Amino acid sequence: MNTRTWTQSWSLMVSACALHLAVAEARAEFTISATVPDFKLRSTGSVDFSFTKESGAIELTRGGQQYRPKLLAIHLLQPDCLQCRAQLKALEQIHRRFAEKGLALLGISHRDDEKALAALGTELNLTFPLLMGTGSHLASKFAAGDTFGLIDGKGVVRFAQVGYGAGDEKVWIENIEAMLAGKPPVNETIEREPLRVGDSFPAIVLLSLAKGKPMELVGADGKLVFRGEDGKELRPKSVLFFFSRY
Amino acid sequence: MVHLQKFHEKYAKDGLQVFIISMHPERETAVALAKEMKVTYPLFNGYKSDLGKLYAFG
Repeated sequence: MNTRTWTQSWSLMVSACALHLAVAEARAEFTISATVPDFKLRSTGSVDFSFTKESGAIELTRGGQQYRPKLLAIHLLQPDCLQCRAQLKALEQIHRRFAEKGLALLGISHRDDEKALAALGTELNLTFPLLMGTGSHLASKFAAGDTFGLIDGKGVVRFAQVGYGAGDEKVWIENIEAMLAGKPPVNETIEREPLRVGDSFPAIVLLSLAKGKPMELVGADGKLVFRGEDGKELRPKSVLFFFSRY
Repeated sequence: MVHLQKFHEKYAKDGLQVFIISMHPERETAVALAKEMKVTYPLFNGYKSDLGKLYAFG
């Protein structure tokens, strides 16, 4: 793998940025110390779920049956998001490990596509509830793409992250174990360095994923030049890219 | 990936270059996923790259 360090000469203005850029958006992310609003949603399989905060404690109602988890975990997802799929697989393991210890885990889809969501649950062998959240206050307030949060017994967000990377499970487990034991979380989030609009972006010189051949996006004479793994040179007017864990 | 593919198909002829920098530690898994999603835009292997260490996000 060949990378050119970002301290070298070229600086590129990228006119379109990755989907997870921290630019102003109409909807907020999960924020630490925010209180999760009460909600009523329906799961795949048409089971009604509601979340309330009664007498200072969180309460979930599932198909008419009430229970008070010690800790609530919510994953806001899109059914066709590859990263969400990977995170859901990891969360299934978390659910199996901690459900009987007091963790309630819910997957809430941004899209009300019951068929796609149900198919996802079946394909990934998920045993925790998948709810359709589009239009709910929860989705509109907290929707920020792929978002995951841990909520304490009083309904307060104590841990939140956007996106997922292999290995994040370790942080989740540390936090869940601490919070189930009545302690504060070890970490409030997983820090990642965001790109900002206006940043100069370094040249990208890496190998292609499939064939392992050099590809590059560089600046030449004030223009962008993209050289693909086939050696062809393109001069794009703008670039749209995405860092993907998958 | 699906949404980026749509952007690629729609705007490549107008000068938009779409690509992904994959940070997955297992190249074969990432390649297989991209094939499954019918991705036709370029995919860089960014795992352990300096760029990835600086900016890897989500």
